[in-house]
Amino acid sequence: MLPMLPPAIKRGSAELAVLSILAEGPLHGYELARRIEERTGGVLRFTLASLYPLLYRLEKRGALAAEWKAAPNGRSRRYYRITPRGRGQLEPLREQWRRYLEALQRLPGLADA
Amino acid sequence: MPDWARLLRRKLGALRVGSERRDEIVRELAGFLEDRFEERLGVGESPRVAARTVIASAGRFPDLARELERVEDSMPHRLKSLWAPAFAVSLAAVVLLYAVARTEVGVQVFWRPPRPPFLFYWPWLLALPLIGAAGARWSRREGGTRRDRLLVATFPALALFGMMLPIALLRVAISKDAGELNYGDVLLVLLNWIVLPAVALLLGALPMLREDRATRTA
Repeated sequence: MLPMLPPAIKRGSAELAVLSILAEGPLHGYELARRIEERTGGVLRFTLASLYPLLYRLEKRGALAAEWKAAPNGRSRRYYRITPRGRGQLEPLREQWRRYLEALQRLPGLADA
Repeated sequence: MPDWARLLRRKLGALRVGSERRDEIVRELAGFLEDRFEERLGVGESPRVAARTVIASAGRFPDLARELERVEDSMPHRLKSLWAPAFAVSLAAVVLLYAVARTEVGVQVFWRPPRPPFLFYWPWLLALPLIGAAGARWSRREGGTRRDRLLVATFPALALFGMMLPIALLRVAISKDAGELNYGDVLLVLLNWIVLPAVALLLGALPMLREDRATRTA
């Protein structure tokens, strides 16, 4: 059984996960969710209800851009790609999370985890 | 395969975003459910079980609808679907009336003193249905309710009434002939400047008062 993360941590990490995966190349929503789940060993799992509001919010902020394209199965899907603005937001976000995780690692009981 | 778009329209209810954007959201979300459904079929689930799994794992639809509205709504919904089109429609009506009055093209006057004149600004009256239709259509596109569309379309007449009423009351109050107020004259003015334009605006808006496709199927 995979460990489930508390909602607040999930919310904060979701943005980082989306931007990090899209920094590797454009994907449509389903493929993006699948890729994140795969890469985090199932710890970060998106539902329809958690993924799309986040994608639309990032799109509104100019961090992502989207366009309809044919997927490999021939169906039309909306592909998201990270914009230069999104890349600019990704690096500080990564740094914040790095520092946060390092800080957690120093806590008793987690230091050797 | 289940009709995911139809299911989403039902589950999301009357999502208060513009109708074009709503269609796009439904199309995109349906694609996500479709892909997840096929994934479940791929692992050997029956279509029925797969559909149930997909719906159960989609998350809470009322929360999704609320979140989507929050994200999409950079401008308050009432402003987009009511006030912005209402003021635009009023501005268009006033500018056109001014232009017709200035050029005096197509103006007909029926005047039997001492009654107030009854004025027909024909180009203006004939254009009002188009203005009413445009306003109601704008409101509908922004997810305005039927009442919003009705208010938007008739707003120029309502605004005129709102402006004329205090002026008329003030004139009556300060007039020496207040006791001799002719209600027939008042009705004539109301008919000329409020009722007739309101009917013209409403005529144009009527086809836009029907529910649009997205709302109907929701």
